[in-house]
Amino acid sequence: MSVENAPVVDVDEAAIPVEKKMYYRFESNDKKEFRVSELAIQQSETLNRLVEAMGYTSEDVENKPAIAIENIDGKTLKLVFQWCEHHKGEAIPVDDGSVPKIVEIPEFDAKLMDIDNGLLFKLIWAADYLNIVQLLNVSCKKVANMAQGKTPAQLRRVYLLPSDEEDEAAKRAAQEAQDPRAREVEEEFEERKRQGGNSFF
Amino acid sequence: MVPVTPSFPLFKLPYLAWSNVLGSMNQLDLIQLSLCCKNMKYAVRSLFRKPNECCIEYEEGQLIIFVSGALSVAVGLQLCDLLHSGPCTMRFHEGRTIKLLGVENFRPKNWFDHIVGVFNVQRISSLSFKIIPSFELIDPRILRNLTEGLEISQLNTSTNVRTYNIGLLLDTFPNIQNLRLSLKPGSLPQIVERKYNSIYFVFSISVNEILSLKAKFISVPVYDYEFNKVLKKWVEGWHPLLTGMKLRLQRWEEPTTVFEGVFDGIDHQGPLITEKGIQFTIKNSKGISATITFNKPTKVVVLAPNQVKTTDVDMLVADHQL
Repeated sequence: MSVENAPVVDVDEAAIPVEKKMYYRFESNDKKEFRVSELAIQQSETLNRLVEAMGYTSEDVENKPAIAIENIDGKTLKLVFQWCEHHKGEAIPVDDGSVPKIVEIPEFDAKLMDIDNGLLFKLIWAADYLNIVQLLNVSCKKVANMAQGKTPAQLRRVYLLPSDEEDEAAKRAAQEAQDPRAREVEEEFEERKRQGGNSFF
Repeated sequence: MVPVTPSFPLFKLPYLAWSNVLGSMNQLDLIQLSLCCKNMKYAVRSLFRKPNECCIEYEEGQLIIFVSGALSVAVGLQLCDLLHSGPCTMRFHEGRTIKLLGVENFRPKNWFDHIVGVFNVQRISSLSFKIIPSFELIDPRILRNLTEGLEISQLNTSTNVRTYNIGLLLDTFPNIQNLRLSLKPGSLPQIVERKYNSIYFVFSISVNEILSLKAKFISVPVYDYEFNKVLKKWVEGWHPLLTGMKLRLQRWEEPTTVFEGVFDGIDHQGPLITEKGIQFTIKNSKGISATITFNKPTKVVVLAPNQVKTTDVDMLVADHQL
């Protein structure tokens, strides 16, 4: 995405102090660049701390290379920054640990998340990585809603959950693949036990 | 509209994210999810780090388990299922709606253990029996086996539970330390021999019955003259470990008239007005002193002119030192 096409919100330049209209530039791992307002960045604890630590001036923002976010692709980052721009200035919710967590998905968020599950997965991953609390809440709520009214068998299919037997088999296979010598040692130990030996060594 | 792919790899998400997903689910979905596999059961349980409590209510026909705490869950097991102990369904209560949940080979004990395990229930705060037509229909030992391993704090019985059945329950659950009973006077033989932490009586009992109790804390409606008898017995040496008594007045005269009746013939010091209420101090024959505190009733009941004024007081005996 070019800089011109990046999601930017119109601002009344005369009404806002100079430091408020600073837009940071970020680059995804597939080299797509985004301009994001300082206020929108505050929704992400990770990015907010990063830009604070960098201490960029308006000139630095324009002249220095865009800040690279190497773990997130452009398609996902676009959704993330669209969400941040739409919700900029909103209070960041504090988790009180209550279950079930009361989360309502606003219309804008519902439309933003009208995406396939692969992209939704990446969006949640990005929200977690960038520590965007409310985006994480609404995207996780969307995944939680997939469980509604389903039986355990259906849930296994929806969330790709292996059965206990499959889990055991996978664990055994992983152990064997990791250390074939371990199995040999175990067999040798069992054999010695059968022969009545008290000590393995 | 983008077609939604049918699956979502939940456990491939970072821990914070998948626990957020589980934390956003309602109670029924969490139970269903916990039945998918062992890993998911542990995952759901990880949401409830703080131990929860549950109340168990036995009504005619079914046993209802209420999990309190962070999440409010009500599930039920049918009486007929408890009797036969074979595979059965569990009834999930959502307001007035009941949904049946079934898992192959899950017996009543499996269901109970699953629910207390998933929701991290560490203690049964109360076991309540509303109606028991007869224990010929259900052996209370079935209930004991069901709740095995969990401490039960209190036993509640309603007026519909016969005295004989209360005795059976007390024999079946000998470790219960707190009772709330709806017993009629003259029906206490089952409880007088045991020591309890607290006994709450819904109806009044006789002075002799009060004196027969071995409880740290007794709450019972009594008349002034009865309480006077109780105090006199205490002064003579009954229950010497009791060093504090608390009265909740349920009468409409000025409190001083109550004090006069209560302390008739008893040496006392007071009244002393404190933050806790109006206090009196008495001593027994062994020199142990007790403080008696009068509290005003918390709710006011207006009596019709033709009604007889009640002279009941709640007697709460407490604060004793062992």
